[in-house]
This record gives sequence, structure tokens and C-alpha cells, in this order.
Amino acid sequence: MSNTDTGTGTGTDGDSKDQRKLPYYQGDVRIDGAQLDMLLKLLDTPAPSGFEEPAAEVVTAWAREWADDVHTDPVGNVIVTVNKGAAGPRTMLTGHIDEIGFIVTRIDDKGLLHFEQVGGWDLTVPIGQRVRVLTGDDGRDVLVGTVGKLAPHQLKDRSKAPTLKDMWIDIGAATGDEARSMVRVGDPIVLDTTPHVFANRRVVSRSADDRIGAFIALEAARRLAGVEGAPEVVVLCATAEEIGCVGALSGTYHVNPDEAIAIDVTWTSDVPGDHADDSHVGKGPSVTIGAAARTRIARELIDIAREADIDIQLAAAGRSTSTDADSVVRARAGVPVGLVSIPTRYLHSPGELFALEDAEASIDLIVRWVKRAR
Amino acid sequence: MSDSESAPPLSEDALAALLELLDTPAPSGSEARAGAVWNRRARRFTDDVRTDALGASYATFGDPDHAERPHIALVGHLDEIGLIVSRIDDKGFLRCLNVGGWDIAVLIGQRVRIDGTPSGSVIHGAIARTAVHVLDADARGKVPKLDELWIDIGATSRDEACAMVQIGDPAVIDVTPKLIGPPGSHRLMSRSLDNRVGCFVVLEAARLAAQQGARATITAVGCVGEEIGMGGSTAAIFGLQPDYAVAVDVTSPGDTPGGSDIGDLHLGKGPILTRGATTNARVMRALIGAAQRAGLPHQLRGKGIRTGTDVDQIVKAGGKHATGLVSVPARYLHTPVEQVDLRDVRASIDVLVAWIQEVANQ
Repeated sequence: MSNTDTGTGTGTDGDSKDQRKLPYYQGDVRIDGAQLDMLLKLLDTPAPSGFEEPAAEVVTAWAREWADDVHTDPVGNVIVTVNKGAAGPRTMLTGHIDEIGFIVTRIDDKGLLHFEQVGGWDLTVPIGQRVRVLTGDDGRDVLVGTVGKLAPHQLKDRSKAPTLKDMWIDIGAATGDEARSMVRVGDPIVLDTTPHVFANRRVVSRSADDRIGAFIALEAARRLAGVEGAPEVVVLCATAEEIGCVGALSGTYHVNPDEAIAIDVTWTSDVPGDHADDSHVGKGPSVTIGAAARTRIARELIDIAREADIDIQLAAAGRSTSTDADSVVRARAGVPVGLVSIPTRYLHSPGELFALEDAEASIDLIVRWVKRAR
Repeated sequence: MSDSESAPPLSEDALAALLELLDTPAPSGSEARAGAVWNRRARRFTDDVRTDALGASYATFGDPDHAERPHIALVGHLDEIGLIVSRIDDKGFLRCLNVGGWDIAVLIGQRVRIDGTPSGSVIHGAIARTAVHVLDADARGKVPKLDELWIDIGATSRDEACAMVQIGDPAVIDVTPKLIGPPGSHRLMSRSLDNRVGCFVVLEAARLAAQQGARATITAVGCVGEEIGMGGSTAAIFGLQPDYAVAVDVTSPGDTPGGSDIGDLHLGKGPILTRGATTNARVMRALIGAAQRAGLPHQLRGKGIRTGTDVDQIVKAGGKHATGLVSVPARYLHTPVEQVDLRDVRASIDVLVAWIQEVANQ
């Protein structure tokens, strides 16, 4: 993707910058200490689509420390308001707190759990993974299990990719009755991994899609709280994005914003393979132009980034963005929405990998956009 | 499990109402007749019965002076799958398109009835294909496409056929509901159980909960256009702006040959409560809890992305509502021999009433 007519510092310009300065983001926003702990806690909390309450609780507890109003709507979206009643356009920042996972559909007489996917999986990913089965009335009791399949020795045709019918979850139960005493049909499941921060401040985790987006939205709002001249800012921590962007549709209806920015993750081209687009971890947030992402807001973000010397990358979308921006733009009578994405490798796997500095640059950019002169 | 000594699951009056609903032809887009039957019964229990511009029916129970009480919408869909006449050929045969999702293999050799014709009379006919003797060897082993079938209404020319039907007339398979099984069993076989049974359940649950003094406003809804993905339920729920929207539909149990992958789900073991997908976790927890506390039979299903019911649409209706789903187990869905156990119908009503009482008295 060329940046020649925007001058925002990607592409060839970005390559020369490799020699000029590292890290790319040199602004004041820093995710460390309590903020980093909060992000890691959020990443570690299991909350597949439809079962977002644990993540909602983490978000709620944090936001209560600094927001004017925090409440959960009947769908489960958490709505956080700062500068309540302030003049200017009501501005919504949204990230989704659900993640992909699995759900128990059947417990067989051998004590094995059969499951369906929650959201879109590459089904080669769960093979051999440990899982957390979230049981009990509120999903707080965690059982460890493993994804089972036939050993290679037992396979007739090793070249075939497995389907859901070829996999099950083994929770160590010896009989069907034992398993049924531990688990209920409909219990949700996530892969059993914890986040890891590399020495260079890159992070690998499951659920980066899109806890990082929700975190950025909240952290931006926290920094805008009480700022003179800032409008009312409402953070929508949306549910059920991974099953069709449904939570943001009702959530945006509740919030009734004048304008919005959705924050999500996007895939990257800085990995082996031929790529149709250009996106790198650590070279700044990706600003989407086209589709649901309104050109006006994209232009504003690009201009602000240039003025503040924040490196960004550009993404183009022709039809849908496959993010909550698609829902926000069609909520109520339509809401103008921008889309800021964190370049993240290995999406929809337990190895989602992003750079903290991209998140920091996003927060900086979004805060400046909210405070911009109108 | 049959127990001929105990009371029947539905009263004679209620069963008659269900059978009348089932027998009324109303494919998607032509729901008015089923809506009229449903409205007539609803008016026996409340004055607040209406039909909206789309054709959805609403029956509201509760005191409008209590705006602080929760508003609970229970949603079934009035429409069923069917066929629509798309072309009348020179020999007087009718070609048709499917309204909703058919297994075409089911259609061959079925009698049909065509309603809404210019004369107002019901036209009878049959879905035909080339006789097996004449069919070439290749075609015998294959399920035909719908455009290889036709409806024969006994007309001998295009003019004759055009005098009987017009393009766009809806058709359904010509069968009547029937109770089957040994003495004391409660199996009911019919077309249109998907989802007339849901419409029946929502009205019964709403009126019984109201009769028991539930401190809530309850609206039973028979919405339109589910089988064609039109999502009439979205419009209905947007219009109502309830606090809760619980759909009642049917779902396949896994207790028939080859069906066990679906889950450990059976006819006769109670309504199926779906956790996950577009259902709200708190609402489903409350429904399951209400069923447990009331000692009512129920079964659990887990779904990851879609439920395949109106809930998938309702969740996108702009509003403040939280969603739930109660499914009556039904075998052979989208055939003229859909089958339910009336005890499951009863238990579905009872679970909803128990849940409404708990929500209303919170």
C-alpha cells in the first residue's frame, strides 16, 4: 500500500525510517505498571462469545475507578461513560470483549466432550491444545482438558485436515456419568494459554482479538476523563462480535453516539507468504479507509497522525471490514465510524502477537482525535 | 414412558386450537390465515390483540399502568415452508419455486393444495415427475431439482390452468395433523409444526402466566417471514422494545437413525434450551434454573454461532432486550410428517410460565 499522497510514514518511507528511529512510537503514552497488569488480566480472562461476563466484570471493576457511569446492558455489553453531559458530539469508542472458543454439544458414554466452534477457527489450530472448560452456573469453575484426536498411527489418511467430527475434548473422565457430573452441554471452552510479554514489549496471547481493542478504548477514555473541552466519551465493550458483530449493533443503539471509532486487530504481511496488503507489527496502528470506515474520520485520523508525528499504516476495505465498524455504521439511523486496527500476527490462534507500542500509538492517536478542534 | 392414566398434556380445547393452527395453510408471505386463527383464540383471553402492517400478530397481557414492570416478548413464527407458483406452461402444468428450505426428495408424489387463488376456492393437485419406468437410468439415483418437478392440477391446457390459479399463488402439502402411536402416547404428526407449535406455545404461556397474576407485561407474538430469512421478528421486536425476547421454535432431536451427532436430545424429554450462539447467557441460566426449580423436564443444547431460529434475527433488532430460546423437539423438520410429543409442548409452556413468574417477581 502506497502512502505517497498521505505522507504518513509507511511503505518505502517506513523502510528508510528503520534506520532513522526505533521504536517507531516515540510519544508519551506508555502501557506499563497497573495499565499493563490490567491488559494482561483482560487477555487472560476467558470469555467466548455469549459468555462474556468474566471479561465484563474485569472491565467494570477497572472503569468504576475513573468513569462517571459504568453499566451493563441486557445483552451483556459494558457501557462506560466519562465527561457525562459534556458539550460536543457524543463520541463512542468500541472494542469487543468476546473471543473465539468452543462450546460443548454432547457428552458421550466414554466421558468425552464433543464440541462446536464459537466464531471462526482454523481447525488445525486446536489439535493438541489444552483447554479450559468453563463450568458451573456462572462459568467460574474451570476444568482443564485436552483436545483429543486419533494418533497418527491410527489414521488411515494422514493428509486429510481434521473436521470437528474427528476431535473431542478429554477432561480425564473415565465414564459418561463422571463427565456429566463435571460438565453441562452448553459449557463454553477456551484454549488454555496465558499471555507472555517479550523483552522487546511484543505480546503473545489468545484473545488479543479483541481485548486489546477494548483496552485501548478504555485507556483512551480514562485519559480523556476530566480533560477540559473533551466531549462526552462512551466506551462500548461489545459482546458477540465473533459470531456476527451482533453485540455492537444493540450496544450502539443504547449509546446513541454522534460519531465513533471501532478498535480491532488486523492480520499482517510481515510473515512468510505472498500478501495482497502491507501491514507490519510494530509500525503503528492501521487506519482503514473504505467500506464501513467513513472517509471523513479516516482523513481526520491520518491528518492528526501526521501533525503529531505518529506513525500509522493504511488499510483499504472494499466491502465489509469484518469488524464491529460494520455494525456501528448501520445502528439506528447510521453512525459515522472510523476503524483503527492493531496489526496482529496469527489471528484466531492462541499465538496472537502484537506490539505494545502499536497499542500506545493508537491510544495517543484516538485521544488526539477526540480532542481535535472542530 | 407412556402413561395412559395421567391427564392428557393439553386440554381438549387447547389441542383443538393447536390442530386448527396446524391445519391452516400459511407459507411465508401468506401468513394472514394463520394469523386470523391465532388472533381469534387470543381474543378469548385479552382485548389487546392486533396485527401489524407486515402481518405479525400480537397479544398483550398485563396492566398498561405498570410501566415499571418488565416487558416480556415470547415469539413464534406464523409462517411455514411451502411452494409458490412461478409459471403455467402450455400443457397446463404448474412450475413452482420453494418458499423456505425443502429437501426436494420429500416433494415427489405429494398432494398439494393451492390457496389464495382468483376464485377464492382451494385447488388440489399433486407434485409429479416422470414415472420411474420412463426415467433414464442416470436420473433414477439422483434427487431431482425443483425445476424438474411440476404440479398437476388436472388442467388440460394453459387456459384452463390460468382460470384456476395465478402466478404467485402459494401452495402447501395437503395433509392434516394426526395423533399417532400406541394408546396413551402423545405423538402428533403434521406439516407446519415448524412453527405453528411455537405460536401456540407463546400464546398459551402468555395467557397462563397472566392468569396466574405475573407482575409483568407479556406479549405473545406470531411473527412472519422466518423461513425465508426475512426476519419479521426483527421488526416485531424493534416495534415492541421489550426487556426480554424469547423465541419458541422447533429443533431436531438426535434420537433417530444417524442423528446422535446433534447431541443427546430426545423427543418426549422436554423442551430444548440452547446455550451459546445468539442466546443471552443470563436469560438461559434463568430459564434452566426455573425449569429445575419447578421440576420440569428439559434438555440442553450447545450452539456456537447461529441457532437457526428467529433469535439470530432478534438479537440484531435495535433495542434493549436480552434473548432466549426454547425449542420443542421435533423430528423430520421441513417435511409433511414433522413429529412432536405433546408432553414436550406442555413442558415448554410450563417452563416459560415458571420463568416468567420468577422474572416478574424479582
